[in-house]
Amino acid sequence: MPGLTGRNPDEVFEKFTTHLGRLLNRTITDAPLSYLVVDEKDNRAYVSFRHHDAQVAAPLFSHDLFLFLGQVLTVMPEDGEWRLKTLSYRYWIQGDDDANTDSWFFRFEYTSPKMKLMMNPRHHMHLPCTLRCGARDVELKQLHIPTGWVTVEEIIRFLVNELGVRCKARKWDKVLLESEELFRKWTTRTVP
Amino acid sequence: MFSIKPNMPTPKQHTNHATRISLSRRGVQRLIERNAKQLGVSYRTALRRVRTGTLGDSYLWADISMLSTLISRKK
Repeated sequence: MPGLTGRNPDEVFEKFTTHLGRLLNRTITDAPLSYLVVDEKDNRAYVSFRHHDAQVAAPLFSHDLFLFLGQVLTVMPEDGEWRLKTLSYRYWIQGDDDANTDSWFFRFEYTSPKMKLMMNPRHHMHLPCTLRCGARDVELKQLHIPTGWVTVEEIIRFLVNELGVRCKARKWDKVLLESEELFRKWTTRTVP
Repeated sequence: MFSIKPNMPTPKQHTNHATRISLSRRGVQRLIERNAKQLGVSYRTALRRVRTGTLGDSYLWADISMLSTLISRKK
């Protein structure tokens, strides 16, 4: 299976981030995507919406929701090609773009066990509400509710189809399916 | 503190090309320090809370977590 190739990791990160940015810009937001690299550690990149060097939550076309998106990526040499691996992701659906408030509605998160050993479900979500669970009230923002691997395409589907965010592309599901097919070739992950 | 590739679009002029931001390790540490300051904690406390999984509820904390993963020495 062909991997995402490039002459060096930086080229791979640029190709990946450009694709992801275009996908987001064709669907739910106009915000530009950036990737941050460390000079002396060239095999990792942090993909996010940034204004200069500051992280921002991107305004969505519906104007009442914002998306904080972060992915830390690495690349591994494999048969003369570079293959992407995700070390961590955070997708927070927010009610505003204030970086210092707790205005989130959904948080989808993952950290690779290579980076951090955790007892809780690695792929998980948080919700900002309380659930009566048996004899006690459980704060769902404290719980790591297990999920499968959550892709950016699935986040876009959720935002458009479930939360009613306006989408620029009329045939948005086709756009997402094509992107998933491409990522399947580029990464080691299994896309549902 | 950071550099952006020449000819890369500013956020208002973007043309769907990814913007590359290159920082030194110290530069990333400064970003973490800046976030920590906004949150009213020290750099050391911020990293300890990343390690122990006791992050706060604002996305500044998520940013700190991702930045610390970026410069982590773990392979």
